[in-house]
Amino acid sequence: MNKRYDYLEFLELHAGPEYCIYYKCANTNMMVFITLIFGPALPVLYIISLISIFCQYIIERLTLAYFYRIPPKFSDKLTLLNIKIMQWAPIPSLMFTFWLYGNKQMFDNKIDVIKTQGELTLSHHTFQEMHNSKHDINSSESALIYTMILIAIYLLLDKLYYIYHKYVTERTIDS
Amino acid sequence: MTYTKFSQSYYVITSLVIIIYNGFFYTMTKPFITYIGFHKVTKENSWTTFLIFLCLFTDMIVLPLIIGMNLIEFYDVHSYENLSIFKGKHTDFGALWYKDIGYQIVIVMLVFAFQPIIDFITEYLTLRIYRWYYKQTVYNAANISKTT
Repeated sequence: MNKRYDYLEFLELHAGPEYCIYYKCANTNMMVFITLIFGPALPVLYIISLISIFCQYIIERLTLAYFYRIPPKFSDKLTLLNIKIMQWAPIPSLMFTFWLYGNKQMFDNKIDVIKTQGELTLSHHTFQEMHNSKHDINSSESALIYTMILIAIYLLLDKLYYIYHKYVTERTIDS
Repeated sequence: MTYTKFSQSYYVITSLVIIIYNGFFYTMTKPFITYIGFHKVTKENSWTTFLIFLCLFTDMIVLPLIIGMNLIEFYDVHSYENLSIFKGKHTDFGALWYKDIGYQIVIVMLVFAFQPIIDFITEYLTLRIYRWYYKQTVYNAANISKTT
């Protein structure tokens, strides 16, 4: 063991741990996804998510300055990947919200009487019943329809912007 | 018609399994991606992020939806009899779903919210223990062998 090796070993021993950016990104994505998907059912998740992001911001600012070793410089690919992942969040969120806001127990107050312990209560919330229902749409359903229209417009505009950026802006820069 | 009763321990065990799976994903994903090998570190990190995200998505979004699910209203009862996992008590996102699954999601998210602090404490302690161990054993052993 020479002196150089000792010195490197000493540095390695006393340097901070590596900053795992992939792990933090995955956690943040997951937090946003869960909040967007289960948020309409459990609105407290929005507050928890806000606390989480604030907490993460403070902790990472401090730990990157004082605790971790300096991370290597990455390109913007990881950030762009995160944005791409986030773009998919509204779709499962809408599917879940659509089904949730059609719940008959919660919004139409239709509850089957439980006669024996452990008896299964049917929801009467099926695709067939939704299709055959004669009742007027309630306020939550109309709100959902408006939301879906707005999100469809958002997705359309987003795609248009993407196409514009890809085929017009980038070509202008290249030329 | 009755539903298959799962005891409270079923939900506790499921939560524990989710936490163990999460830990397993965190530990195994990076070596797995490194083993596959990419030319650039950024690409390797991107794939690791994506894979961890997929695992967590399955673990924390798909699983809570499946646990205790009952699809009896959507399929023929007799042909569906063998799939006992989908014979829980939640036919929809009703009051029972909030009581069983909803609060679990909130608790998991609360833990998740303070995970940066937990991670920092864990990493700090691990680093301290590692340094102490290294100084006590490896470093001293190397010095002793060098001097003798």
